[in-house]
Amino acid sequence: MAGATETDPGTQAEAGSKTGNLVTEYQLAWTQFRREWKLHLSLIVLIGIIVFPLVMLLMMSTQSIQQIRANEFAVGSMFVENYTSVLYDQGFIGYMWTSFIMATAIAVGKVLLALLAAMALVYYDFPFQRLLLIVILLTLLLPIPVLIVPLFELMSNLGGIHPLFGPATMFALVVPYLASPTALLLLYQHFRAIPDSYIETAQLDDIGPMRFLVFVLVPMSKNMLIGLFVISFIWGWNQYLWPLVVDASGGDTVVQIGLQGLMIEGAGEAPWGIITAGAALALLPPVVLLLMLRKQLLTTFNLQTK
Amino acid sequence: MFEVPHMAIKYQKNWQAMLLLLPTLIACFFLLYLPALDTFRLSLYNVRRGREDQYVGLDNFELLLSSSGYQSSVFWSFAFAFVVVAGSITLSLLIGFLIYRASVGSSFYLIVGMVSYGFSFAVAAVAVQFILQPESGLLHSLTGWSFDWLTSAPLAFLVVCLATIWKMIGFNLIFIVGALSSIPDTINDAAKLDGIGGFTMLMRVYIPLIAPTLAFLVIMNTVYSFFLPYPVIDIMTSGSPETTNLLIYELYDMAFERDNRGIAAAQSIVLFIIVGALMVGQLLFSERSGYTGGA
Repeated sequence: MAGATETDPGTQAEAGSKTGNLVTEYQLAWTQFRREWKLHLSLIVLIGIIVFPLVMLLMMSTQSIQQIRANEFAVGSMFVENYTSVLYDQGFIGYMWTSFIMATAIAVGKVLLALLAAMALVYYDFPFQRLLLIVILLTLLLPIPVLIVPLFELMSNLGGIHPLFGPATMFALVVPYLASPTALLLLYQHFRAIPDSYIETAQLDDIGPMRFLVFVLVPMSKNMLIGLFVISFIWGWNQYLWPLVVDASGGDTVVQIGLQGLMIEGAGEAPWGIITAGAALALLPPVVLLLMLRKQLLTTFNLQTK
Repeated sequence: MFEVPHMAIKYQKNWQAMLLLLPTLIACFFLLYLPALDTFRLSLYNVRRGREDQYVGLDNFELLLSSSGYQSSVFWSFAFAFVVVAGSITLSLLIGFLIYRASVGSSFYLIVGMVSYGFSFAVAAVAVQFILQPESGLLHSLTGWSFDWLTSAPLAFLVVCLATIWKMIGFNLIFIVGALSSIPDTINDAAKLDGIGGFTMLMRVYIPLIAPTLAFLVIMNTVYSFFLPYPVIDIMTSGSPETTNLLIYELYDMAFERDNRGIAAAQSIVLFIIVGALMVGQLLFSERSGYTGGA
């Protein structure tokens, strides 16, 4: 490789073969990397600092207490033991399930509600349209943390907060999150950016609103909807305060609260192998989703920043 | 922004539009607006479990504002928000700018750098605690330095800020890199021809250009740092030393541990007013500085 970088990229490209082009691309990238090495060094250090705690956390979750005390920077031998212990002895398998149902229900609900509302606001003509949009957007100012007291009373009266963790409690966990001004605003802007010509064609064919929604709008907004789903799932999975309020029961709570339980329980001797395994379980689903669907997520966000 | 687009044909049936909007409106009214109104009502009552609610007028507010514990909580929440907003936006701006300037590998750096958007405040708290734990933490065992922040008020405050800043970088980075990449190339080329150095370019060219995004981020980060750090406090310090007894922690504690929902509702109102005022102030400021043009 060192020899190859010396040759002129032009002659390589002239060879015309696919592999030749590939080599040139790598060469070019390598040359640029070397030219900006200071910048890359700073980036590697800064981003290294950002991910270092996570790498340590994942590594520790596979180690025994002795290995953790000795600060071995290596994958340990207790992977199965730590994760089995946290999943079964500490009840994380139930917590994971609750978190999964909660996050999925919040994400599906938010996207669906916002989709229907955005369709009404963009493709219908009715009185007080702007007023309704503003009424929905103003809920941005009413985040759940300031409403926990009355929401708790409301859910208790509805029977949603129940000693037996069941569908009613899941309902109490999910419904306060369903109204989503952010999702609505993003979809609203996205719909309005769709060129009129598409819509006119669809309407000239005399398509009904439901078929227009399902066969025109949804396919045209696929990336946007996936991105919104990812954002809402991450948001739902990471909720802490409201599940803590709802969980009056000691049943299967969400994984974030399970993690708090591990920290409190382990305060004395701190079984870090098990705590970090719990933290790994709490962070992997949203992080994996984020990494897998990053393209859709980034397009969704970019529209908002422009 | 709210202009109705110019379109040849629109659906006209009002009942259909209402049907589509109904789920969102029900959720907004019953789960957000009504509870918000109820917060105002509750804040005027003495609400204890097992007892009849008792009207007390503005007593709850008077009690709160004269309590030195609550005053200190207000002070430290502002300090916390200031440090977190300044710290996370500065760091994200620096990293985002470097990512933007890198001609190779920028998408890789962005993906790794934005990972903290994915995990929760609770996970951030556990990871930071794990590294900084005074006796058994990684920092202690590696350096032998006993960094005893659990009992030191200023250090506890800084550690809680650090965990929050770390968690917020991912969110900010997504928006900053997004805003930077939408700057037209011609501006870059012009700046390069003028031979301006990297740091000067950031300060003089890029920051003004992405000012609307930065204003948006300042507002969002302020709101987040008042409402979202509850898990960090709950896991790391449980509100003591008092430098970490932030308003949102104090609110939960009052409502569900000390079982005084009336005072807790009054705290909700105070929190709501603080955040609302900051939001309006920041919006006005950014508008007056002529920055929010394109947002």
